[in-house]
Amino acid sequence: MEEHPKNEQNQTNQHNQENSEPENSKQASRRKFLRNIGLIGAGIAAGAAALFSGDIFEKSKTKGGKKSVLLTQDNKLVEVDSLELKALEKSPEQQMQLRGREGIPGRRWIWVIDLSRCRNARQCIAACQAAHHLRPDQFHINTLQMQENPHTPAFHMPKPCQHCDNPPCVAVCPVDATFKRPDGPVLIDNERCIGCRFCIAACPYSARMLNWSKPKFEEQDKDLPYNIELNIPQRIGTITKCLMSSDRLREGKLPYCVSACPNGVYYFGDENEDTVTNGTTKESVRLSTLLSENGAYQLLPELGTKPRVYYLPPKNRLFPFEPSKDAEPKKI
Amino acid sequence: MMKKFLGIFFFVFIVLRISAFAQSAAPVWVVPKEVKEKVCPFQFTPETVKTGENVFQKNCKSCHGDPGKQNWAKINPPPGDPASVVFQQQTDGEMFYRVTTGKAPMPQFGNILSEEERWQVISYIRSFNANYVQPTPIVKTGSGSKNVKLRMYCNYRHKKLYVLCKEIKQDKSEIPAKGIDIQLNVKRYFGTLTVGNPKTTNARGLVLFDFPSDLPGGPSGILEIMARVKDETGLLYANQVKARLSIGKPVMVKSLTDARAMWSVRSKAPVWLILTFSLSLVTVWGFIFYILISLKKLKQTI
Amino acid sequence: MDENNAALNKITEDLTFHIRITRGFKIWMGFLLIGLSICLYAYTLQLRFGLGVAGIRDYVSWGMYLSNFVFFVATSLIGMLISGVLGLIGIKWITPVARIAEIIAVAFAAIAGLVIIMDMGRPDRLEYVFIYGRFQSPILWDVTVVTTYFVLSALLLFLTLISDIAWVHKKTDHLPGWVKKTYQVLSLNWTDTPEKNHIIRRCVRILLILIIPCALAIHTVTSWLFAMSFRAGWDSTLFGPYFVTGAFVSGGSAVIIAMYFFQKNYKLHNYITNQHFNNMGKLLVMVMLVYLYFNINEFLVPAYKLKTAEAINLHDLFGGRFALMFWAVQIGGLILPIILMLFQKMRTPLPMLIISLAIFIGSWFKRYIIVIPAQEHPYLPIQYVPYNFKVYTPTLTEIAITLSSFFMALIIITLLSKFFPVVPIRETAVERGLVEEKN
Repeated sequence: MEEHPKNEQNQTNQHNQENSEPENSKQASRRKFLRNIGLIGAGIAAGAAALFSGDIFEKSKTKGGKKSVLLTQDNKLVEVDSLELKALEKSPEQQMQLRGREGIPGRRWIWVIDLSRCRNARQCIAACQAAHHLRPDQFHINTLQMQENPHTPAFHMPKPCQHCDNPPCVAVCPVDATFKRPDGPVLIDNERCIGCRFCIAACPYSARMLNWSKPKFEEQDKDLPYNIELNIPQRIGTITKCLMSSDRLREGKLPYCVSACPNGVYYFGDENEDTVTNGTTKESVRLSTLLSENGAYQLLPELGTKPRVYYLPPKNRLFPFEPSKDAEPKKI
Repeated sequence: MMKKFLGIFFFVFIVLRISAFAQSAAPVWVVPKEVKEKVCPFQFTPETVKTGENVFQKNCKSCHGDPGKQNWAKINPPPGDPASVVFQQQTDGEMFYRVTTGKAPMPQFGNILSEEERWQVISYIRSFNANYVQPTPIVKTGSGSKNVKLRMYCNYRHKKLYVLCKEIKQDKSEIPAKGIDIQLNVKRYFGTLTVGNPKTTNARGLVLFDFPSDLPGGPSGILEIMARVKDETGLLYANQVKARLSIGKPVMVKSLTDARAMWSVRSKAPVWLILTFSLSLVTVWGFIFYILISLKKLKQTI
Repeated sequence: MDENNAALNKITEDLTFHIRITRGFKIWMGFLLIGLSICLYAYTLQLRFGLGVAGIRDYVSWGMYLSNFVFFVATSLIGMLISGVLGLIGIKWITPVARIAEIIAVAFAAIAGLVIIMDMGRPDRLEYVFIYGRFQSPILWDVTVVTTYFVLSALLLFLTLISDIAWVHKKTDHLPGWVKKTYQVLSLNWTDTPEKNHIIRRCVRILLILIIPCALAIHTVTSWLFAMSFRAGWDSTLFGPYFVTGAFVSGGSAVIIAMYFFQKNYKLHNYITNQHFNNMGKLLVMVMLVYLYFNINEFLVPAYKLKTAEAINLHDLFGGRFALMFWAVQIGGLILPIILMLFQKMRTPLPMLIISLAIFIGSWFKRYIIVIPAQEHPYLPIQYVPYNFKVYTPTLTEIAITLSSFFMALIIITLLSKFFPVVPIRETAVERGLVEEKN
């Protein structure tokens, strides 16, 4: 009730003041306008400066801007970043960061896991943990014991990171620490990671883990230059995850887990070549044929994450399913 | 006290016995007779030596060191130098068997290297032995053993490949080899892909392959194709004839990370997102700065 | 005129009475500081040995720290509701409550920022968020809005304090010289002139308008940290408003608790009256009814369909490991308080204090129940790991670090309320017609 007349009074009072000094107010308003422009400018500058400085650093790390066209040994014309040509001048760590973020040109890695052959030998896990210097409870890849319901078959399912083409973990990362590479794998830069663990929360496949305490080989690895494709040395408080053994792919070798499998579970290859190679038998097969003839499927496709890993269903198994005693975490 | 001492003594004794047993067992590594005589199905060439060297560097060097330098790793039993006489005294078949099966701590390379790669390593190891003469690679077919040579012809338009197989006789003359199984392979990043089923040469020593029209071959469609002889043991003659042919389906490879997306790096964030974020930030903080300046003014006005 | 002056003097005396260092204050601050240093020792352990000193592991990777963060962000929202929304629509009775709400907003927003640093695996890399911040990450949005909201709240608190500080400056000769000096600097040479009042009024108005969308943003974005992840139990489009209304509940109860202690300890019975408790009670009932409505939506809809993953989560809440906590929170912290506060007798100071404490504690556990159970049931089974990976139990260190946030918030609230008038002097005087609002 009382508010209204008061407000009106306020307004008229203001009005009177402004009217009584028209010159001053005009000047003042101009000054105010200029100042406002300055303010907005300062705001933009301050906000942009921080982001921009990061960007410049980013570019200096990953992009040179200029591209050169080169002829490779296998007669392919490839565009190579001018910075990469100078790569030799950089420290080993910088070189590894550079190539680790660029990936292997022209490739698109794909993974097929044949569930009918997995007997839970866990050799893949051992090889992976040895290669990445992990603790026994850190699983870049883990074989899970699955059964949808009592009437469907139980089976062992090796579960690496699915290296999604629409990766929810990468989307939520606040600092570009985890990233999707042009050739497929989702990697993690543990020199950038701040340990917020949003990616762990976002990943529907539980494929990520944190170094909750000092890494197993911290002392031994401390002088090594950081290899982003191997994630060694592991660092406390940062994420570690399956990297598709990017370091091995660069050498033309199959991933650690794939080569270690004694039962021929894994096929790995380049989608662009439509070929995958079995890690145990070294036999190469057409990817499209393998997928279509075996009724391949993906994990949780309804989430729209577009995994890079295909599964072949556990049918026509040559051995009975043997449940594992260690699968269920036990109360101590 | 005495009991404890005895216990320790007993433990030490057992450990000594076990290690002694391990040492004495080390040199005994029996190779089955039939594999001793196995020969490499292809001719060792400078090329096979070079690829073999690559394979050796990645898989064997960590334990065996550099051949000829005697710098193997200090483990028990000692791995030994592949260039040494002890090593070179083995037949190719024995070497192949040991590389394939392994013996702790040596890994089973049968699971790690393809057969071709294992022979290439042997070809590299043999390159340190000037006296080595390779046994003639032979093809065992139903009608006996032959030394053969392949040639490949390509009809690009109809995507057809002809492979001509000739037998080399003792007097170096060549005649068409009939009844030889030929397999076509394409080089892939991690191995070789078999194209179609193996086919048998006709009376003129010829086989005709219809090349699949949908096999991707990179931006140019160029594929590295190998025709090889497949003998009755299932062994493949590596690199019998090899060519780079523009016979694959050209595929333009698109990078997975080109598009602006929620999961892209910051510089590839969706434009609307960058704009919304920046504009809201600038607006609100613009007002905040305005208020701060007003406060300054408040202090100055009397 | 003399009568006027005397009344004005009385108000100033009453409202600045508590601005003196008493024994009780020393004991209370001593308690808080000792508590805080013990808890900070726990944090140094975490800095040395890593996040592993807490009970969080790879599956439940956001534990008590994060639920505590959500709680702090939530509680800070009350400043926006009372000053912003109620202030802008011209509700009169909020005058003595508004500043309390603003103090709580400032304290809880500031500590929310610290709580989230406690949850980082690498707090030494905090600056990376500003250098490399990705526009696509809700964390960048969260950091931005929490910072902005803190600055807005602090400015709002300060702007409404300026005139009071000038008054306090005159009344506090018993305090040490440097404190008086600080008051003088903070008062920005304020005098009761139309120009100065005009500047302050305009700035306050801008802030009140800005703070509403910003406060909505801060808690909506916080809810998106969950809603934008693939987890049964978080995968809800309702999360934004669900969190915002929940925020008013926890913040409202915090204000009532603070009101009670300020009224008793600072002898403000004539200013924070039973009527204020009554009104706050009504306000709280209203927001709690809205919150109840959102709760029904949030649980009934998935419970009706029982999708596989949702079902596991809901069973755990309704009848499993979290059932006791869930029902205690829903009944003791939500339904029962609503029913009780419908009675006028319950909307008096002491019952309101008790009810508010129940709501406040319930609100904290409510966040716990939103954050943790959803992570214990990922889509794929948890196997071949130690048992403590599968089931989350907070460690003592973790609880101590979490407690430190409460000690810090209480220290901020204590200091702000000790050295500044809790009830605005000038506004009270204006309301009682003792000072003429000159323009």
